[in-house]
Amino acid sequence: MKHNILVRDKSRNHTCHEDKSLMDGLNVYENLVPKGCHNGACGVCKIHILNGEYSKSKMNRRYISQEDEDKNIVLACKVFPKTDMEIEFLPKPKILSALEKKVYILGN
Amino acid sequence: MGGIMRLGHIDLNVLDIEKSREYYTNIMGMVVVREDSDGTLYLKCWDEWDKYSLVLRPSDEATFNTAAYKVESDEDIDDLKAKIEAYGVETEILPEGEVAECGRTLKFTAPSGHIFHLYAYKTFVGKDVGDTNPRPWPFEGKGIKAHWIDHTLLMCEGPEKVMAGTKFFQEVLGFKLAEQVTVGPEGSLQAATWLARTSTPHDIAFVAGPHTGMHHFAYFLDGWNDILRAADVMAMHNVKIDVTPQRHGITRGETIYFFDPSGHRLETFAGLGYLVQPDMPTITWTEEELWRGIFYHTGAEDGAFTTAYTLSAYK
Repeated sequence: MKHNILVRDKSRNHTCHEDKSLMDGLNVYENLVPKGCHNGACGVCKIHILNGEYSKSKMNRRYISQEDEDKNIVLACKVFPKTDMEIEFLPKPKILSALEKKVYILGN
Repeated sequence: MGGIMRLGHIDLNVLDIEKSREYYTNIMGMVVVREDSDGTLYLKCWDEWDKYSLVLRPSDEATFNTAAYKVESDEDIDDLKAKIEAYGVETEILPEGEVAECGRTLKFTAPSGHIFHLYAYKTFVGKDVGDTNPRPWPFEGKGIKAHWIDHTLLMCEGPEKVMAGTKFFQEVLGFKLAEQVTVGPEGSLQAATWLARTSTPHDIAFVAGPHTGMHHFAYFLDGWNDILRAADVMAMHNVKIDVTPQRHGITRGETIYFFDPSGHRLETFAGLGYLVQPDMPTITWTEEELWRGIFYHTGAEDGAFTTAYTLSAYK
């Protein structure tokens, strides 16, 4: 069954099948979700869930603490929609702090 | 020659050990050779003769622990311990058996920021095809049937750590600098390096990024046909492919990048690149041609390729 997912920070919505994670369901649409590893290790798909019911699998604790998880801050690649949802992608804070330090990143 | 021979194994934390078991056995074609009571799995490729080349530990984190390199003899452990300490890097000797199936192991944190293990002995098993009148490949087996673990690429905090790690690997561990990407004023900084102990273009690589971690580890395949077949196997099983079959300018490798069930990036690397000898000149790629060096056909940046990767574990 498909559900409607509103990505609030992009002001766009697309459907996601409940057998697919939000990351897998939404990444086929260009410029809608950040590109990442789709399975938990990279942390680029951190979202805040604003509305909607969902199930989830195990989060990578290197990026998502129990407190985050309790506040609906999760990795999109580990979340499966059960109803229509509203979500917002969060910037990867550690990357931002590294950029502040002006650490050279290959290709940037 | 003595000293370091090759990459021996990669040690990772994974989120779901059963998903990982299924993935590495059915897709990669590896075999589980040992299972500890805490759920840790040890896996081997058909063309490897030592007991294992991958350690997967059940964890709440999807992180990188260690890269272990095999040295030729036990005396090399003492020799390298002295050299590493003389360079100002602390070391520790782990007693026989602390690293499963291995003899005493030299542990240290390299100037790149990563923990390395060096060992001279690991339980001998032998190749699946044996060593008397062997077949060229095993008829049995599943999936991609990767030959062996080939190399790893580690992420360092900025070019300073890349350069510190590279210098250490050249001067202390005896690696040959095969290729480098230079940036900054008159190309004075190394943003990425490829270093070899075998006769292939790399047994380790370092790349500048925001955090210490592991970008990928690679398994060897014979050539383009195997790369295409591997990509087909991945698509048949909904494996998340990061970069579809492509040529590297750097190392000349034929490649696919893809992710395992915990999001660790893997590579199937085909071709031997070229013959690396001690007197071969180092190949340099400039900042302008960087992406041609990485993805030779498109010559273009791929957004997540340098930003999405596995962090080193806290412990």
